Amino acid sequence: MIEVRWHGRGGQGIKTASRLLALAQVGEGWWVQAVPEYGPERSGAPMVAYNRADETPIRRHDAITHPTLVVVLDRSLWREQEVWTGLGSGGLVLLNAPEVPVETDWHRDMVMAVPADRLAREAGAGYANVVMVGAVRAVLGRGGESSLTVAVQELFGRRLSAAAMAATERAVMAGYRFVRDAEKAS
Amino acid sequence: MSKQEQQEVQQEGCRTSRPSPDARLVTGAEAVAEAMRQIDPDVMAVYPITPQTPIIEAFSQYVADGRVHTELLLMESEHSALSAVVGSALAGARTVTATASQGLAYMIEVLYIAAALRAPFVMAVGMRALSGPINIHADHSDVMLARDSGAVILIAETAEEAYDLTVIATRLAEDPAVMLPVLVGQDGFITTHAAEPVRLLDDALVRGFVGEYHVPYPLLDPGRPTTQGAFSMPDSYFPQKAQEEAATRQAGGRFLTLAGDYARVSGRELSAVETYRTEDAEVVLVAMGSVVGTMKDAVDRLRARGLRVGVLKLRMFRPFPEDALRKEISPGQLLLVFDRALSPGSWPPLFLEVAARIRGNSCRSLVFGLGGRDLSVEAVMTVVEGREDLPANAASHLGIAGGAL
Repeated sequence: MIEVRWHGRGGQGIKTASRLLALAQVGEGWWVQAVPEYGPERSGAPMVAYNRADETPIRRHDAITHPTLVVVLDRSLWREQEVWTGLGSGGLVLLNAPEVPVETDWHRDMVMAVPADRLAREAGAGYANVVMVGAVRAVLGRGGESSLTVAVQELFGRRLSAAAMAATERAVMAGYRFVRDAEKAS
Repeated sequence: MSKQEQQEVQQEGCRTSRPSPDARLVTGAEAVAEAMRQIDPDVMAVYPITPQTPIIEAFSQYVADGRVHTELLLMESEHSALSAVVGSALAGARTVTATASQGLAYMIEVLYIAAALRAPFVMAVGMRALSGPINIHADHSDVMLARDSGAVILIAETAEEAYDLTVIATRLAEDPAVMLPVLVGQDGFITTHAAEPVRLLDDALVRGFVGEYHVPYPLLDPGRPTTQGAFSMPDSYFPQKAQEEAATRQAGGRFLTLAGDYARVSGRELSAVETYRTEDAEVVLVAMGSVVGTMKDAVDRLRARGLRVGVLKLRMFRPFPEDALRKEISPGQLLLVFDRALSPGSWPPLFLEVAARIRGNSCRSLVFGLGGRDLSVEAVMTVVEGREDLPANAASHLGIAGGAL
């Protein structure tokens, strides 16, 4: 079972990101859950969302406390919250930042910086959440680019203009390729 | 989980390896809205409340897009919404509504009247804690308010079950032997807001299954005038209540038949009582709702450690499926009954129901998950492994200070 926990702020789209990831995974034959967490939401408040994916049907509906992967969409949450809580050895934090923060005294080797804000901007998209979905897909390593494209079409097809759709797809792929290229380089 | 446990759990699996190609990723709320779109009711009267809101959000979109012919009534309160539902159902329109928590509490006065008037409709419930303190998360306190209303109460474990039960509930409510409100509960947020693969059926198949609604005594037929909702003196009140009670009881048998019909068109069996690995079990966990899936995982892992344990799930709480329950329980099995609601000053509701029907079984009461508090696979395992220490003279409150575990 792969479990992902998303950290972001209200308005940054982690709920949408978790849904997009689940859509791409279900398209590849995974059993999935995309689980938003609700509290007193407001724009800018810290938010959490989750994903589960497995090769057999997922029956448990309890909370995800020991994720395999943590995604942090907002750089400021790194100091504000212990985003790595519950992450075991072999786990990974994907952080939306130009580089891993120097001040961290937590396992630096378990953090990967993805410059998602910059990649989103270069793609002409407004949001870094979709970049991080591409990055997560690349880290998990199963499935290719086509399932991501199909998922983007299914989730946003009715809501976005053709130009916005193209920008979103470019942003997702930018995240996917960033991680793939980083892994090749290491 | 240890490596060995993992292996044994995997060996146990005779599960499918991929979601069906027609499975769609939807939340429990979206799945119910989709069922309602396919049912295409004549009237929906609602008032929004978390966590039911996404049901009417999705359904309103279907109305706006012209994908249903439904008259959508956005009322000024739940009390008014259910009053409109009752009028609509008695007039002969196929009618649905949806609510949760305080909204259901506000509907309760009208719900008793609806059942007495034998008004058939389906009510989706995103089951949520009652205030106070104010809380928006899952528990079963709200549907327990409807326990003695006369309405039928069905409870889903998953988003797909919420979908299936909504379709079956339409026929059940309108069945001539029943003619009652049917509540279809799913756990707030855990099921209403989490997206999972759901095998939605074809529109034509669902429409064929639910068919047309024919009200036997329409309120608005001037050629055949009827009196409905009349004052009832002591000479007639009790006999009418007895008829109503008989109808609620008959819903058990009718559900069995309709679920059988549904299995033929959908390939999915939805019995009132479902068991998982109980045949040779020494310990049986009894529960309703989304926690049952979590328990199934716990059961597999406990069996890998040599414990003979199983789960008994109730999909139906009213009428209480006592024959099915008795059939599935063997003498000597220890029953651990998990309630997601309290009855302060007494035992919790599901425990009372089960304890009243068993002979020759020990029974322990556990309250968990109030206001959305988590119950993990590991916590279920801890309860089962520590079962000898569970008190017999009081309910244990799981996961809180002062609770047994």
